[in-house]
Amino acid sequence: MKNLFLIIIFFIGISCKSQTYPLTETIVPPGSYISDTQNQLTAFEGNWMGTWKGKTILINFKKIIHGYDDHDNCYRDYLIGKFQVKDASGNILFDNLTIPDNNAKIQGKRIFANGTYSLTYGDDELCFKSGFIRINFNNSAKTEIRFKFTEISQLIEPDCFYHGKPADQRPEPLPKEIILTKQ
Amino acid sequence: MNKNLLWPILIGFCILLHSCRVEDDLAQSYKEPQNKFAAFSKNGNAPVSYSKAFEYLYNRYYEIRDIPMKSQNKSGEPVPYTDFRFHSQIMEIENGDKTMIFPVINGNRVIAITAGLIDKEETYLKYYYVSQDYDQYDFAINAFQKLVDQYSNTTNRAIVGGGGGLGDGGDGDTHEIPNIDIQPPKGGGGMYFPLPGNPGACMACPPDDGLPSGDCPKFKACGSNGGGGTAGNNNTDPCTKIADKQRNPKYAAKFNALNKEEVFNMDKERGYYEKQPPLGVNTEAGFVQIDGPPGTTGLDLPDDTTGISGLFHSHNNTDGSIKIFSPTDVRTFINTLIGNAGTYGGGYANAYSTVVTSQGSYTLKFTGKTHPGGIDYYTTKVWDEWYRDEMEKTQDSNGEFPQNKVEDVFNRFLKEIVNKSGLEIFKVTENTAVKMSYNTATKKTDLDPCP
Repeated sequence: MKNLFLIIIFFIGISCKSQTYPLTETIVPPGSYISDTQNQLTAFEGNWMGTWKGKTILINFKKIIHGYDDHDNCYRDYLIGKFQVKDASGNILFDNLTIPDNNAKIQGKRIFANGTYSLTYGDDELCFKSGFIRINFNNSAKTEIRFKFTEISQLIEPDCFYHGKPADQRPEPLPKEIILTKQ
Repeated sequence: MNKNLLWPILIGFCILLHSCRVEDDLAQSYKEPQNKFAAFSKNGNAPVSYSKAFEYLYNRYYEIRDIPMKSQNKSGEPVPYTDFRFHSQIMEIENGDKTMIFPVINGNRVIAITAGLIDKEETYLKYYYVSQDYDQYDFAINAFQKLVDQYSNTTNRAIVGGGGGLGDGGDGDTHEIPNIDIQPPKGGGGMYFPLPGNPGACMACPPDDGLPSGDCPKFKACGSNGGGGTAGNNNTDPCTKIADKQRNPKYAAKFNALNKEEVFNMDKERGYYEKQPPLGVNTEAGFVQIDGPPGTTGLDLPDDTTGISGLFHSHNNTDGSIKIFSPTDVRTFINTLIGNAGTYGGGYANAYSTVVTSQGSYTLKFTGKTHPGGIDYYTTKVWDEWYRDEMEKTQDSNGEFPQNKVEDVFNRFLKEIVNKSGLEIFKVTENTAVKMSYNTATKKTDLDPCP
């Protein structure tokens, strides 16, 4: 009788445990866990650097383990990205390296079968400039990342601080396409 | 003594009678007519545009009878139509009735004259062809022909049995077509211009007995607060509104100007906004082109957005672009365009925002009677995050966004996140519109073509 009770408890315990899904999944039942079971995200962690248009960008990717995703009501392993951009003279143009992890402007979402990892970027301080980022390793040593950023189209209202300015006077926090090198 | 008393009594009686009469008259004048044509009534400070009112009601008569518009007959030949862009001055006849004349055009030639007549009480409207016996007939034909020659140099948009308009000649936006001034007709009997005495008066015209006439219920256009020719238009049906716009040569020209591969492949976005004139100024709205800075995916509204009630813009073919409205597009539609349409453009239902892309074009409309409320910073932030997260899920391994999935996500966004009653989206072409709505059961987009 005692054994039967333990067996029932064991199976209840198993059924209550949240289901785990791989990083390729996008739609999962509430409470599920999208886990980096193959440890694919770890190699992206760390500082990466690149230059474009005379500017230098330093991006730090950090892996968050079992973080709660309130949009999809699930848990997931994912990357967050924080960055600093300097102009040719070393002046800091953008810097969010020290903001809290839960406010990171770059948030990872999923990985594709071809190894490309997909993230989103959103910045309400830049009049809701936002877009999609895709990263994948550019060499087998995993010391280079191909970084691609696509911006979401937006209408810019007169109250936006860069409204009416020419392209070179508008904020460009991220390069459209760049090779980043591991630091 | 008695005689002296009689006079004050008589005078007092007369004053009493007069005052009763005056009160009756006042009561009569304050009584709001229930059977007036809304289009001929003033709405606030906006003056009545008689030419627009005549055009609106003429089209409406055929529209509610579902009489299709054609540009050609079965043989492919142009057919005659009344072009309401060209008109005389409004003429008030002796008894207070008002009339205006318009040319009937066939193949760029003015072949006859249509008169529109609204009675003094604005309760009865009729259109009829004017007889060649009218003493100003030749003068009017020649005057209209000069205007047509001057302002129409492109293709016809003829409508059988309905109002239409010639193409505005490319840069037609900048032209204000003057009216012709003619001698007001004299006479009575409700038909001030002589009627065609026989069918030969306008052989090429559509049957005279088919021309609209009647009281406002026959046009489904009753009301006392504007409509059609004035600021207020009680018709909020978005299909009708979109069709009206698509028949407008200026609107069609702007849509077609954006709907091109060369525009989609530019390294910037392009758009046109429609700006209404200030209150009290009775001119047509104008379109202004705007271009985003090269190398960007944004489009700046002008510094002064007052009066802007309509907007077109392109979303281009840059890698991974989302070819449907963005959250800021929706915010601008609600915060700027709807409000301006209500104040300057004849009603909220006249606001529109159209995004033109290589994967399809879409128009936002609003059918509500009250403004849906402004979108603040926090709401925009919530929208932006939701939109980004869900659109990301539609992305394929090549970084592309399949359009059917983009439509599903956007329609869900409108229904569940924006959630403004009366806010609707249509998939449009140059001359069609299909209402789209998110089906929560199937998690797909339902399509409902406009009639």
